[in-house]
Amino acid sequence: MADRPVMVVTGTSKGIGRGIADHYLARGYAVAGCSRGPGTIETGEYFHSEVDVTNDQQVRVWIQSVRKRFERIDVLVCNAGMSPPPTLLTMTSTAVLQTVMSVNVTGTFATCREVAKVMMRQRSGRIVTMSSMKVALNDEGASAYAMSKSAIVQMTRVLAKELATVGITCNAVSPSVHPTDMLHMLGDVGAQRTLDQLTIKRLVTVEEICNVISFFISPESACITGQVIQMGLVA
Amino acid sequence: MTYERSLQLIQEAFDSLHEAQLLDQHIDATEDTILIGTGTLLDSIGFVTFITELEDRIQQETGEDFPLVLGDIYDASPDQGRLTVSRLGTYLAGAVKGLRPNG
Repeated sequence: MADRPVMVVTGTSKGIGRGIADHYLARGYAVAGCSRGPGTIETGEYFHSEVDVTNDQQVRVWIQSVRKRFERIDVLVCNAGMSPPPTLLTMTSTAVLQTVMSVNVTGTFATCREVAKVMMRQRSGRIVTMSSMKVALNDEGASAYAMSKSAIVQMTRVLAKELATVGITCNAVSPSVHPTDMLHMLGDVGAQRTLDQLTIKRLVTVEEICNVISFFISPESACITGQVIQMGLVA
Repeated sequence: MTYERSLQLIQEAFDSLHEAQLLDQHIDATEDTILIGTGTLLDSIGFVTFITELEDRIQQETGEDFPLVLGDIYDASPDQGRLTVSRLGTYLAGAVKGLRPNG
């Protein structure tokens, strides 16, 4: 059995997921991460798997392998997601919608399901999902993305109720704008327009996101479940 | 014989969970034991834990990953009502390749 807390993070090859993995590795966690491609983190306590989170079987096998290696999972951070370029709904193809929903919703759903089974047997655990400010902003051009992130919030709340009796909490972080590839897709004008809509008009850092995660996974937060913390935005 | 082995696996899963204190009471898996719905001794959390334990045991037994999907179990015997040990055992005996005969 691992002698340090075990965290599972999806989408760790870059961006927020990479930052989360680095943050908790530096704080003594063993981290099992995944992405569709090779890992980018090389430390002794990081274990990477190539997983397509939209593939049920791959997620299942991955989580089983994590359980076999560590014998428990203390924290899940469902970070993997994608954002299409901003496009008005009337110009958004169904194929784009399906891709976004598959990665953001199905991927989160499948990972939560498999990890929750492990946590149910150990009668403890913390699940953190990633929503987005786009849900509250009702931003033009973000219909598919906002829809997917709203679904994640709803799933998180239902799961929180389902797992409350076995000591597992489920909460969501809703970051504002973070400097990722998704931000670059907005372009300078789009990025500024998004920042202007925020209450705190600046990018959030991965350390600030981890601060929220740390609050959710703290032992003192055992009664905090089904909640969404908005970052940089009064919603 | 294979059906008997599937019933043994079900009982072993119940026993293991009870020993690990994940089930409040010991359950004797008779063929009529109800797994879901009125009359069951399992709550929803207990049922999921039981299914997960059973999946593990099937994997250990066969070397194959075999996710148990409720819809598949019901579809295999749509004329039956509640999910009982007998119904689950019959499904496993037919669907899981490599279940060893007893003994």
